[in-house]
Amino acid sequence: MASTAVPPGGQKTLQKRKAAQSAKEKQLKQTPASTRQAGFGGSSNSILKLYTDEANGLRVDPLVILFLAVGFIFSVIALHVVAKISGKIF
Amino acid sequence: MSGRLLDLFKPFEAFLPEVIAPERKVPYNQKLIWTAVCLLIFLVLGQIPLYGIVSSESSDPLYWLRAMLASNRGTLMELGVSPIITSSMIFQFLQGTQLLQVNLESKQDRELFQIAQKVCAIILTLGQAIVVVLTGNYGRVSDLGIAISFLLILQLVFASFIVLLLDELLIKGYGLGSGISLFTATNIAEQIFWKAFAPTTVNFGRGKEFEGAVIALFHLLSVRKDKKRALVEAFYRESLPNMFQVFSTVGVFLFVLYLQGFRYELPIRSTRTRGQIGAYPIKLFYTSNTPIMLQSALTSNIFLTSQLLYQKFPNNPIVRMIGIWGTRPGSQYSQQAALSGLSYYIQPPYSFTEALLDPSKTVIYVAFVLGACAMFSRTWIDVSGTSPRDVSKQFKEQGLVINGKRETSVYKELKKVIPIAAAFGGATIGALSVGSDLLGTLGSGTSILMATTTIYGYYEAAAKEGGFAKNLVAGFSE
Repeated sequence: MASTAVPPGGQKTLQKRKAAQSAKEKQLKQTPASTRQAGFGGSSNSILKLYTDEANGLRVDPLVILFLAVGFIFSVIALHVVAKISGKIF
Repeated sequence: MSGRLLDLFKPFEAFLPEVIAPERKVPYNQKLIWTAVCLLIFLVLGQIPLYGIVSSESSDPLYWLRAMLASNRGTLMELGVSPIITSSMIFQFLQGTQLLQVNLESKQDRELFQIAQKVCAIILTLGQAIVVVLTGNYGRVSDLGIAISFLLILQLVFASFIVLLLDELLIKGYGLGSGISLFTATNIAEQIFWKAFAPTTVNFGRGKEFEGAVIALFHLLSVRKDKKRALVEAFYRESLPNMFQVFSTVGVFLFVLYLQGFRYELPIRSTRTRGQIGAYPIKLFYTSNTPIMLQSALTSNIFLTSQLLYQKFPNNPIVRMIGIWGTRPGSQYSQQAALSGLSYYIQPPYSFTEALLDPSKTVIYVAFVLGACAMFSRTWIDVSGTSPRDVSKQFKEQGLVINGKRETSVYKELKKVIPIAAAFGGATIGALSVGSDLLGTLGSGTSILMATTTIYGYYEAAAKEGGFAKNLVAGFSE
């Protein structure tokens, strides 16, 4: 390490900027170029891979799905319980 | 204008609920949590009985498909993942055979493709739910009443819809991998575990016996006076799961894991960046568990059709040639099995002795399974876009060549390896399935193979994700 402080700018900064730029470009270009990259892998774990992209439909937060699922489970259980109890009473 | 076929699904775009993709990369721990929560919800859905069922005592016509489709009879998961699998299979075949022209490089087309798959899955769900209820699976419709029938259909549709969304959530990047394969593998693992450790008892007239193999072993060892005979009984009991089956299951599991590591590595180098060398691995299980899934889907559909035909026309000679069904002597459940005909020959033998008693059946069965798996595997690489031609095109796109070979001979080299790897891998998978069926593992050979390959795939994904890297020495990472 040199004893003097490195002045700002210069080659290093240029390199960093270039790296950041190319990383950004790489991210932007990440549309699949082949069927395999689009998720239809051969040497893959499974034959099923769907819905990897974003569509502009009715967008739902993942937590909403969890609540929906739990709510559904509880409503079915409630139906069972109501049927049992009403059978006991009447 | 085949591409316009996709545009038919355009109007649905606005109404279909869709999980928001994560804005940045989800950390490994959060992925694990999401995966676990989704799995838990799926398992709970698979245990809650449907509201409004009168009876579900009759022989299960879909018995052969249950393990593959992650479905449980009489529960909210009656349909399992079958609508999703069916719709994605339909669309992949349409795309693979170029009947449906999708330009996967255009974002619009990909979106439409997904929407079409989803719409098809929902329509299939509705259709299957209506068919299941109307065919009297839960009692005759006139006994159920219209309101309850409607409620049953609603429950089935909503449950499948939730599974669709959960799967989408996992695939979008919150989970470690595909939800469907995870659900299937879990269902299979659950059944195997239950057969090994079931606390329920049955009484065949000799007193109570535990159903679970391991529990029965300890029970027999502690209760019986003659320990030697108790051991023999725990290992060889006929009609219930025994310890021998547990050991053979573990053996098959370990063997498949060992075979998963087999690969042929082509040395490759980049032409764009000099000095970049790597290896392109071609696995022995090139198509993974796809051939066995397709093979079991084919046989289950043959069984289903044959059973239905035999119930309708028991005296038709052609129907009798396809399969004669009845209960096997010696089995305590009222599960139907093929007794003769074509279906009998493609039905796996129940035990080693049965395979020896009818050698011609065994030979035909083994030849059929191995041949079908090899053929499906060979065909699948063309359909799924992993044939030598596709891979060499991909190499060209990325500027990769085989080290020490000319640029033009990539296709020739790949053609020497990939089709053979695919066909041999398919045949190996088939042989493993037959072998585990003959050994009499807990659950069918197919299901064990499917569970093992899926779990290994998940393990690979997790390892790539970096979940296990912490065990390495600090400062070193792969």
